[in-house]
Amino acid sequence: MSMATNKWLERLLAGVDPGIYVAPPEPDRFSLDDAIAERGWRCHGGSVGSAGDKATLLEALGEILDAPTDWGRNWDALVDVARSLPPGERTIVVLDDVGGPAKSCPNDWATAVDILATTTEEAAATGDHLVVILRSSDPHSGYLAL
Amino acid sequence: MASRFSFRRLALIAAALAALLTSCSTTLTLNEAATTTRIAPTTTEPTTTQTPATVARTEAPPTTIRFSELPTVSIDELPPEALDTLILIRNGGPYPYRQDDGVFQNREGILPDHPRGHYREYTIETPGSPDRGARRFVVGERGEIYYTDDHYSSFREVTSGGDR
Repeated sequence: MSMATNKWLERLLAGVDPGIYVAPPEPDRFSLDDAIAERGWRCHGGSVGSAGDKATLLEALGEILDAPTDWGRNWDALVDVARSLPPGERTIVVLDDVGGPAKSCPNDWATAVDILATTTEEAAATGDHLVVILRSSDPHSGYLAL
Repeated sequence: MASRFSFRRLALIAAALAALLTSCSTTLTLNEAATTTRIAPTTTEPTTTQTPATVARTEAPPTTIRFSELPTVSIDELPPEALDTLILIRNGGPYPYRQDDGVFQNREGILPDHPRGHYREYTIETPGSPDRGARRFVVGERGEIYYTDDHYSSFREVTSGGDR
């Protein structure tokens, strides 16, 4: 694990405000999951890299967020699924390979990120703590880097 | 989740719900609706098949106020659990799920367009479901009510019947 990787992970584990952040793709998911779990926080993570359109993006996000098998697979259903993450604890959502949908379906990707951003704000308003991390080797502007 | 409806919005919705709940098999006439819900002038007026004046003069068959071009569902056709949810909404809660009374964002744009905050959503129980299921009411601040049973993939506007 590089020094730079150590630093962003240290900042995350030290506690950051609710919201959306960007981070490099290291460490690997398993190491990241372990580090977050050691803090006693919940982590939902996975790759969205293969998503190339709205349908595949929703499918990937639904799987990462543990959506019910019969969920609606539409934007309003994604709002519902994101809001249904367990309350009352710190939850970290890690999306890997975000450069894929950001390039192949930028409008759909922007909608998905906006939904997640809105959800972090709603959660914060009720005292819950939701952090979403977008990981990619490509620069991803618009959100704070960890 | 605490209700964030204003008094006026609550009054509109309560009146509309009361009309629906008390008329399950009785048609809500335009005159009744106009009196009880006091629909205010808006940029997107509800659609009706007759004007109030025409109804008053001719005693034409009752019509239902419509807020959308969506398909309709009569309150009589809704599952029994839906009535429980309507009663909760009318009473302002308490709601069984923290997501209830949350803002429905209308991201797909299926419902008529309004500023965010116009619509709120409520879970309708699905017996036997391990989770909240796929049935919801979405209620607009003018008292319009929409029903989905496929997790927001499609909606029907709830009516008291008579306009289907």
